[in-house]
Amino acid sequence: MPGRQHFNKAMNEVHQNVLQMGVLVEESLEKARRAFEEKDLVLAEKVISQDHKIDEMQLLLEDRCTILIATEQPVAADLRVLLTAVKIVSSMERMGDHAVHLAKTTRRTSQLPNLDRLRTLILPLIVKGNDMVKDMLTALANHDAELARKVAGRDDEIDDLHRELFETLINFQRENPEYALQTTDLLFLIRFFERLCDHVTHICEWIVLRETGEHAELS
Amino acid sequence: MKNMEGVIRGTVEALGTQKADDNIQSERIKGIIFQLLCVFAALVGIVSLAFLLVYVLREAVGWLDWDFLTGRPSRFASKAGIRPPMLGSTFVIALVALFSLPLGVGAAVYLEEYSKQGLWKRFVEVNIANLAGVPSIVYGLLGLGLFVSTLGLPHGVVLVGALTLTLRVLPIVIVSSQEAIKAVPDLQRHAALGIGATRWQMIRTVVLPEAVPGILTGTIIALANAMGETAPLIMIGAATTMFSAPHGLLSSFSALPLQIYAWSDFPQTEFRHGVTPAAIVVLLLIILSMNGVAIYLRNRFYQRKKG
Amino acid sequence: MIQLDMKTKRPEALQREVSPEVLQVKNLSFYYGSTRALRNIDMGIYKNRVTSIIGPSGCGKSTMLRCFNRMNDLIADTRVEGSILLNGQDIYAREVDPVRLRRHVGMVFQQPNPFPKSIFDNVAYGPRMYGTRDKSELMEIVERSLKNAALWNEVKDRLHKSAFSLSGGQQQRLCIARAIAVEPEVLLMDEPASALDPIATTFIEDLIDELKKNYTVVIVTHNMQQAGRVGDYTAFFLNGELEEFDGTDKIFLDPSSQKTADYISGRFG
Repeated sequence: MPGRQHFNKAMNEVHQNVLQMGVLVEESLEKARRAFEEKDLVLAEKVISQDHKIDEMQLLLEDRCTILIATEQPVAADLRVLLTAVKIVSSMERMGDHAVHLAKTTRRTSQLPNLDRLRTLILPLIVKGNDMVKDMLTALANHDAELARKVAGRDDEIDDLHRELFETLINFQRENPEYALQTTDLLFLIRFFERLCDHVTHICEWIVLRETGEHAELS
Repeated sequence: MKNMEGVIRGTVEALGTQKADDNIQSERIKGIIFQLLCVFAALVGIVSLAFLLVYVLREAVGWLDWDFLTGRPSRFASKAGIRPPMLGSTFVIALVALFSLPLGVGAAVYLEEYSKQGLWKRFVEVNIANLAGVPSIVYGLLGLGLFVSTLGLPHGVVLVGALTLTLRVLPIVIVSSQEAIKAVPDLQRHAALGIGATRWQMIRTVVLPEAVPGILTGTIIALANAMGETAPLIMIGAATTMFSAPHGLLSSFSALPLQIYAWSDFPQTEFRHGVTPAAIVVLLLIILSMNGVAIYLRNRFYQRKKG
Repeated sequence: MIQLDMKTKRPEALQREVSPEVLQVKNLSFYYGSTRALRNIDMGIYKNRVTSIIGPSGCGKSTMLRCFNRMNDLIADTRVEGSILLNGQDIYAREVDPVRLRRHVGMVFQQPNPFPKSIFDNVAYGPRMYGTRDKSELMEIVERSLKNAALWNEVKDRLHKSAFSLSGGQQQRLCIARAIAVEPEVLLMDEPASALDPIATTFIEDLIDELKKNYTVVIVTHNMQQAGRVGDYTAFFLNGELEEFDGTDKIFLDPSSQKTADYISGRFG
């Protein structure tokens, strides 16, 4: 029989819980995206009001990992799993915050038809970002370092898209000074989504570290 | 790299040189002398035993036959036999075993398992140790005074002989039983008590089963000693020569050592250099085989314990 | 919705956990002659939990353990003040028979100490002593106990071989089987793995984790990592006093006492 069954179970729980938190974040981002696209303010409020669950989960998981490190003296792969779990959940929590930000931006901009064109232009960035999150979770669930590397590689695409959108938004702002406030909001939005993808990239790096023991510089 | 080679060469030179103040060689010689002395000490015992065996065996040859074992004592060397004293000895020793085992084991269990560490226990133990050192002839006197004069038992009967020899071996049986009981690890006692055994259950199921081989070994060696006892038996009035084997507790008896003692005093050479050595060989064989059984028991139980 | 099924709660939450106290130590002091080995101990042992007792050599941790089943009674010239309640009854009360107490509070020792008997007879020792004679009933007890001690599969084909034919770790599991064959409520373990190699130690630790489903376990260990791994609660003894007693997570993450912190982090002395 394999030894340390109790610890093995705990480690498995940690892995499952990190995945659950990832799914929670992904769902939150997906809802925020739909609310943004369909101007669904009710859904946006839901995203905002549910974020505390993600925050709580982060705290629980961080405590759990700390306790396991303190009481079980993990080494080698076990130690990497726990250390990267702490980092992964802290990035996930920020990603959850970005979903909230998207929901709040929806609240502030969806009622202004003049901004619809900009919103349509921004949508692909959000979709691409969310796709990256989904694939990152697949890599995380399947312990797939190779997929993680590939997902992180898509960050460049996002950066390019962000740069294009940035120029478009600045031009719009220059031409429509009366929408300065909302345009700034959208500027922050694209900035935050670019950051979201950086978080995904970081998580991908930790997946690689966890699975292979190698530090990968993927961004 | 060069440095390292230098260090190694230096060490080798140092290890090879013998300095003036180096005392390793002289100490080594002293060690060899000591070792030789130890070998000599060990050989004294073996050589003298071998000498004894060869000496008596050579003289006993021709005398030691079936008729000798089954015959009765006689004034004529060619007719002399040792059946009555041999059976006498066996009878007495069997009784000694019967008396001394329960008494000895009981006393040992009391001392090791029940009595508290303290003055009383020390007092009893010191006395037992002293008793073990009392000369055997004094036991004869004790037996005479206690069993014959005080209790009114007849002179020179099997029961008195057995009781007297029981007193003689009891200290040895007690001490060896104590040792055997002490050798049962406390861990085993605690294991039993920890499950909720009473003290009696622990003694019965753990201590005694484990101590039995040690107790038997000690007891058999003590009985073998008793087998050779002569003086106390003379004191209680046992006969040196009997023409029939004892038939009951209160019948007179003789014992092998007594018969040997009597024969060795006969003027005829056939007795001194034939019959007596033959009887000695029989006595030695009995005693050595008892010791052999003791050693066998010890080894067998020791191995079983190791699994 | 996602269910957060986590065994260990946050440290503050753990403190609030209420499991009934099987044993309650109340103002207990213990003397060897005139030396006070334990002073004014107050602590509780919670049902179906593992409580580890840790501390440097001579801190009184083994003495404390042996107070729970009155094994200290066997040592001459010892004295107890205060009380220990087992399900509310003072085990040091005059009318309590220590032999009967030990049938409720079993013990496993530091050195594996099987009897020089067969594996079967070792496990059947207690039940037989309590009066079970029926062969099939004994067999049932032996099988159940060996299964609970995670030893059945290794010995089922050689139950009548000597217990000494087992390895050290197996012998210790046999001793655990022997102890649980009489269905005690509490199982005391005095450094049960300190004489074993790391793999055998892992087996014992896994076993302790299983045992707490049915028993309340108190374990003395000089190995604080082991306390961290197996204990739900940890008691840190120092110089005969209970320096700190709390959930293991709390002790290992955020001990209240600086001395506890120094000890568990290896900065002691």
